[in-house]
Amino acid sequence: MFKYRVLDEQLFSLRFGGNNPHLIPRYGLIHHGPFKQLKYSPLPLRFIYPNVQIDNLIERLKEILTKGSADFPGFKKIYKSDLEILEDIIIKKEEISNPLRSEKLRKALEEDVKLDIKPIYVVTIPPYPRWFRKSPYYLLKAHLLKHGIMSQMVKTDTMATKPLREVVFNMANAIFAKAGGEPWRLWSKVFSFSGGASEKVAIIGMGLSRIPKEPGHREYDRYAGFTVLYSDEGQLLYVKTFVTKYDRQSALKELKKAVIRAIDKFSAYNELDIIIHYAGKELGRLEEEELIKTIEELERTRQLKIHYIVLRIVENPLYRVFSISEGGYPPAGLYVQLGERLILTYTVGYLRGMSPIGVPTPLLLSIRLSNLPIHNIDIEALVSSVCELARLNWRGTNFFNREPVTVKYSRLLAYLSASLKEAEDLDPEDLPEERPWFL
Amino acid sequence: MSTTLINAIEIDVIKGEHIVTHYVNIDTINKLRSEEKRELKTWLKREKLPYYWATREYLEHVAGLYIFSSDEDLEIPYFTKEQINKIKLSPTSYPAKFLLKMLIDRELQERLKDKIEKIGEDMQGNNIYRFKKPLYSWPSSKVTIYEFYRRLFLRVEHVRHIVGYGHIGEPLYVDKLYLLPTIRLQIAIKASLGEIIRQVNGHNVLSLLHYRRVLVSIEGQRRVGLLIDVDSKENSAMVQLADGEVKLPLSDVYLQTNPTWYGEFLREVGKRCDSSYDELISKLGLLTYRFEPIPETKKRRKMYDAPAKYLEDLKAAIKEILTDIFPIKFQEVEYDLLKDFTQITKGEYHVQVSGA
Repeated sequence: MFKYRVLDEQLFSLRFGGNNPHLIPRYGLIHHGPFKQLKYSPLPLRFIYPNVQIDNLIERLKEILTKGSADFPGFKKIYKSDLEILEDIIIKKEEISNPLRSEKLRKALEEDVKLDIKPIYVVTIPPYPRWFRKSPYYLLKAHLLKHGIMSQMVKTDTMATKPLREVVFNMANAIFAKAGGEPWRLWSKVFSFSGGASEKVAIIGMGLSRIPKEPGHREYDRYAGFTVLYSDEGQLLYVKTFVTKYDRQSALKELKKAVIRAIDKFSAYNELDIIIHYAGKELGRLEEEELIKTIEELERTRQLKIHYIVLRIVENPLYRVFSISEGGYPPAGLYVQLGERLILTYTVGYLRGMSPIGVPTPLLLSIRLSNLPIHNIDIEALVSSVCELARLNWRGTNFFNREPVTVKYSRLLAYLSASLKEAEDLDPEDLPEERPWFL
Repeated sequence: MSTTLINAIEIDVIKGEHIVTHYVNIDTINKLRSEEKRELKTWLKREKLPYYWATREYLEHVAGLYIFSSDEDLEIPYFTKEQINKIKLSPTSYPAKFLLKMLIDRELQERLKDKIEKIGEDMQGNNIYRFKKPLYSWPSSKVTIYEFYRRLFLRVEHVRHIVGYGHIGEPLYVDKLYLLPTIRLQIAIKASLGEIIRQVNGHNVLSLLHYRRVLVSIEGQRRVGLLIDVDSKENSAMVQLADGEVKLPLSDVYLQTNPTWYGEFLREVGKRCDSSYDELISKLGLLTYRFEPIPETKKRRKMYDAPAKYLEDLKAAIKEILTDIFPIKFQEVEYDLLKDFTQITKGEYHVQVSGA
């Protein structure tokens, strides 16, 4: 009685320079360049690293970044922008745990904040785990962001264990996006779920996460909330985070503010479809009521007809689907409607001879809220919003990425904003809203 | 003929038409204080009574507490007899999934305790069991550091299928229960750094663990840390925790479960135990369905039929564990498990592509 359908392959394609399509991000970039280039050239970069015998590795990294290697033709060839490598800052060994003590860094920062085009700092750090709140990763990232400077962190163990050309490609892509470029967009628009009445569709990734006092523990001390707004073409429009004390009312107030800001950022007239990809903590009744109230209020005050869906994305369901051909891999884009409100979706799977490593895990989409009757909702539009948004991961340039960025980035954002606030008392309000500083 | 399977095994009701449930209205429950509600839940768990606690109406089942018991005169703390109603439910209704979950759990723990043990529940309420016999141990001599086990995750799922439409276009439903099994790998750490070093006789290899993640045990509590330094004379380690550094005996410091995080260290340990690190990694690749060895070489390659191999192992695990416990009886109802996974067919092709 279960029936499956498969999304059209074209929905997995991405749009690169000159409006050319490609399935695989890295080849799309190599063949066609980025969708939107930087408005300036050269892009200044400054490398920071500790003096612990890694200077050879850093030199190699710079060489690949600027001149290219076998699988990476070099930053300029791909992103059509020159790089200007500024003088390195080498931190003393004893300054690794607190790089802010470095006099060299202080001086360079003083100069760099005065520049019209601020450099991006490429920082090499030891592999501190992300839960360590005093890690140089957080200290530096927060400190630099306070001065309006974005950073690209590279862990020494990543450089030592992964092929450098792959590390450099991913790093280059993140640097380019942080500098204001757009590596790629979607080839096909996410379409309306309300029967085509709305011309515009906004996809919002949002949610609340409880931040534990310690990794793996169930004692929480803060809420971190996040909103990421995408257009139906896959353009990143807005990023916002907040951190509150562990109190639901404070978190709800901030959540409401975040939804209003996101919808206001989206210039829509008359009608609008909103798909909310909800991640993090389970939606409680209070949060549901607040969301509905907020959207109804917006409809009244902005004179807008809003059709909305809140889609909860469950990341590790027990369901698995097996094909009897292609080594058992289900096709990418396969979905099964399990009940009225539950849809099992494969964002990765077999596609044109490619298959992911291991046994692919589907996502379970649960329609939690909507102001449309359930039978008036185009399920395929919801599935496409999840599968297509999974193609927008600018942290990597490979084909396979399971989670939609609305969920993937959100988790990253929640953790980062909570840690940055703790490390340097960086107010989430002061974080950039239109650039992916968190990549 | 379908070419696609879903790992859902249909539960067949071979006997009986309804289950009698003890039901307490939500308004009555809401009169209880929160600590009383907590105590009530504890009582239900202690008495091993399957229940469904619905805070809101779902699929025509009104909010309230549904308790499954064969005892017709069941007494429930905090409620009078008048407050407890007996209602009949379909054996495939949504609340029945909570009953079946507990019945399967009970059978598995009673009848298959030689083969498996229950580990607990995950965040989504799925039951997790571990096969007692390890799949693989490493190294093979002196001291065991890693033991690989197979875990079985089980969920009972209720699915409402639309089977057609009535004369005014209303959807016609059928309710079904399915059992969803999956298998996953569990890696257990069997020795502390102190034991490893004693057995392989070499402190110097510990330097290969600097800045690596470790698990420590402090007053019986497990915490994650970063190994900063080792004092070989004192057999102790400095470990960075989230709230500062601590000095701990090596006997309280453990590796974490992913062997690939400790490549150089384990390679050295392996050499002193006549066990190859490459074999450990090769086994890990196979058991996670990610990589397989290339015959007659030391190299590995991506596994190109990972789901097919996984399916084979999953079917074997089900045959070993699940088929023996069915049919399961409750009151007048008898549940049985259909033999195979459910085949799924391709629905009509619906394409809507824009912008291309």
